[in-house]
Amino acid sequence: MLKNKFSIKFYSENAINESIKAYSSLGKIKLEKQKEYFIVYFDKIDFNVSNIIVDEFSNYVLAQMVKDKE
Amino acid sequence: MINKIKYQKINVNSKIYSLSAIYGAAYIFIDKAYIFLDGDPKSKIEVFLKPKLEMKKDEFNQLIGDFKNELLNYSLREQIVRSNQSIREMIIAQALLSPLYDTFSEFVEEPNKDEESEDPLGITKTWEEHFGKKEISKKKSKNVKK
Repeated sequence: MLKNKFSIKFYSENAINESIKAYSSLGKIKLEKQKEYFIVYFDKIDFNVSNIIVDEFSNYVLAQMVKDKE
Repeated sequence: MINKIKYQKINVNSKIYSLSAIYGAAYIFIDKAYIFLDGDPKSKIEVFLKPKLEMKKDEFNQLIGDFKNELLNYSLREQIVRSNQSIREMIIAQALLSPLYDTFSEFVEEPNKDEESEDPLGITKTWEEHFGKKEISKKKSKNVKK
């Protein structure tokens, strides 16, 4: 299982949830909230994108953050 | 080739660069690199960059340099936006109010063009036209008698 953590100081829960919705067709993605980080777990990810999904997902969350701030 | 190595960290001083400038600059590079933010927005912000495509070390360093330049560019833009805020508000207010002015202008009396073309203070008139010749000659004769 792949995972990535996003600092609550830079990323909003809403942006992560929107990104999870967008990437839901590629596998099971779950969000867990911890003290200072949002932990995102990637499971049963499409083989073709498994090597880039974590990085692409973090870029997508960043784009959502910019979009939310506009 | 460098794209297989881990993220390269750039430390950004949040007292110099705002968080919104970092978001803006990062967004510009989203198609060229994977970008990730961490650290503390009140002191030191850590920006992690990794190229999307294969590239040489020099090219990646160039990309990092370009990102730093974009950061500076965004900060300057923010500063300009702040300094021009009142002017922009005035222009927007004027633009929003101009249709109202057109609506109510028919109720406002327009000044008569003929009156405007006249000389209300009589500047163009000569001394004689103002006071007349007789009055001047009377004053002169009084002075002579004294």
